[in-house]
Amino acid sequence: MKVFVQRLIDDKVGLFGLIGILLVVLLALLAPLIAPYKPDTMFTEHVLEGPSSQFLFGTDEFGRDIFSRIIYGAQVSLQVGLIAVGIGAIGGLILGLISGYFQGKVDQVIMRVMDVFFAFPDILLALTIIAVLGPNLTNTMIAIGIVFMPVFTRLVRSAVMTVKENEYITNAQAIGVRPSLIIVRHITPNIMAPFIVQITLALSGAILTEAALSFLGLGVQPPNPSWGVMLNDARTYMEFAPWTILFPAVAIVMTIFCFNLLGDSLRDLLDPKLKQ
Amino acid sequence: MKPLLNIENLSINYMTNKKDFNIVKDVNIKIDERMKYGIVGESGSGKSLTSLAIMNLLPEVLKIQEGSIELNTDSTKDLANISKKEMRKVRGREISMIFQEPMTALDPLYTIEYQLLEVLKIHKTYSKKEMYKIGVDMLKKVGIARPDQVMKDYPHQLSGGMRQRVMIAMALICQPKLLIADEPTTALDVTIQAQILDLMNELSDLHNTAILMITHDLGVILETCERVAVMYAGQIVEESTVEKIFEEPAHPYTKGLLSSIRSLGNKSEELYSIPGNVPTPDQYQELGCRFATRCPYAMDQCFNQEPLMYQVQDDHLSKCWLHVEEGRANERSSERTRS
Repeated sequence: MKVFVQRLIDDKVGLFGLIGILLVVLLALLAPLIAPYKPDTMFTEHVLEGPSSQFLFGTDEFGRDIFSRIIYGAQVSLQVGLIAVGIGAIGGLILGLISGYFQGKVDQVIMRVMDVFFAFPDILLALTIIAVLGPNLTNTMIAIGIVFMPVFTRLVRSAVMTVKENEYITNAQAIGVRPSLIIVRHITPNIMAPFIVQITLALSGAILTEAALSFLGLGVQPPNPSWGVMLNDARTYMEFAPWTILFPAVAIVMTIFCFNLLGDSLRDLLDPKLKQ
Repeated sequence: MKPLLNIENLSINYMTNKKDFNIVKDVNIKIDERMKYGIVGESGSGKSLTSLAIMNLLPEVLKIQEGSIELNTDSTKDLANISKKEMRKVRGREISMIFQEPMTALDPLYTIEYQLLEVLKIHKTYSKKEMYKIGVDMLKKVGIARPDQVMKDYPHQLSGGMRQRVMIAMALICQPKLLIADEPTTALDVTIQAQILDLMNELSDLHNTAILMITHDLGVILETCERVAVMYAGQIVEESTVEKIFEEPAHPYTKGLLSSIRSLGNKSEELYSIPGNVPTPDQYQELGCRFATRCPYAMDQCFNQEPLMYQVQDDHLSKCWLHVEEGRANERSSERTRS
C-alpha cells in the first residue's frame, strides 16, 4: 500500500488528477463557507453582469452569483456521480461475480439482459428510465446507475473468469472452501484493480450524463444549482453574456478531465503486468 | 482389508449440448493406506483428469459417465456420487492435493499464515493460538528455516521451492489419508525437485499418508512410488509394481516410453521417440486399441477390437493383443469385455 501511494505521487499526471478531484470535493463539502452568496439569492440590480470583484464569475439572468452556484453545483455533481456509480458498480459486481463464477444458464440469462441494455445509447436509456420514473434527482441517480451497470457486469465477469483459472482458486476448492467464501475471499479482492479503475472512469461519465440530463431538463430541477441546469439556462444568453455558459462548462470539463487522468494513471499503476 | 481408494471402471466424458465423447475410459486403481502410487503418461493422457475426478473438481463440461471412486476412511464414501457438502468435508481433510504451479497456487493477496490456517479453520476447531502453533510446526516440518517470518510473508516474497514447501504444508496440515500430487516438481529446478520429492516421501511416512503421484516423468515415479499405472489416451495400458514396469515392461507404449529416456551409456545413439502424437479425444478409435495408430507391432486385430487387461505375470496387467499372441495372457475379468 505504501509503495502504491509512493508510485501515485511519483506519477505527476495521476497526482494532478487526484489533487483536482480533492479540490472539487473540498469545494462541495465546504460550499456554505466558501461561496460568497447563497446559490438562489437574486441580485435584481445586477442581472447578467460580467465578472467583477463583487461577482467573481458574473451573474446569470436572475442576478444569481455564478461562482456560488458552481460551488453548490459541485455538491450535486459529486453526489450524483458517487451514488449513481455506486448503484451501477455494486449491481454490476454482484451480477458479474455470479455470472463469471457459476457460468452456465445463470450467466446466459444475466448477460443477455445486459446485452439488451447495451443495445441502447446511454442517454436514450437514461431518458427512457427517467420518463418512466419521473424527473428528479433521485431518479436521475437510479437511471444513471442502471445505465452503468452493464459495463461493470461485463468487466467483473471477464475478470472473474480470468482469476478463476488460477490454481489458487482450484486450491481453495481443493481444501474445502465453500463457493460463497471463495467468491468473497479469493475472487473479489483479486478483481479489484480493473474494478477500481472502471469506477473512476465511470464517475466522470456519470457526472457528464447528469449534466446532459439536466441540460435536457430531465435531471436536477431548477432552481437547484447543477452544472447541467446552468448550461441549459445560459443557452439563450451565451451570445451576449458568454460568462454564463463558460464557467459551468469549464467546471464540467475540468472535473471530468481530473477523473480521467486519475483513472488512466490508476489503470497503469494497478496493472499487474507493470508491477516489479 | 479394503483399499483406501478404490477406483472402478471410471469413465469421464466431455459433454456439451452438441458434442459427447469419451475422454477417460475404464480406469481401475486401488491404493492401499500408506501406499505410494504413481500415474504416468504424456500430456492429454487423462492422468490429471483422473485426479480431478477424485477431488470432484472436474470442469463443468466433463462428467463422470460411469464407475465409482470409493474412499474408505472412517466410513465408506463413493466420491463419484456424493453431495457437494459432503465432498467439501473430504477435501483438505481426508484427501488433499498439491498442484503443478507453486507460483500461482497461492493467493497473491494473503499472507502464508492466512492461507495455511484457512484449511485448519474449515475442518478443525482449534483456538487461534493453537492453530498458529500447528502452522509454525508444519512449516518447520517442511524444512522452512524461519517459520515465524514466513508466516507473515506474502507468496511473492518466497521462491518457487519455498512455495511448494508451503503447499505441502497446507496439504498435510489436516493429516489427510491421501495426498494427490499433480506434477508437483515439474515447475521446479532440478536441484529442488529431488528435495521436494524426498520431503513428500518423508512426511507421508511420518503422517501415514498415501500418495497418488501424477507425473509425466518416469524418474519421479522410480524415485517415489511403489506401484504405477501407465496411462495412454485416457486408458490405463499397463499396471504393476514399479520394479516390474521398469524391468519387464509388457505394453509396447511403456516400452516406447522407457526407451525414450536418455541414459549415459549410449550417448552416440539417437534418442528414441514414439512416432506420431497422442490422439485428441475426438480422434480416439471407436473400436480397437487407442495406441494402434502409433504402435510398431500393430496388427489388423488391433484396429478392430479393443484388447482387454491381461495378466501377463503375477500382479502385472497389460492391455495389448500381443499377450494373446504370445500365449501368456490370462484374462483378468471377462465381465468388462465390451466391443
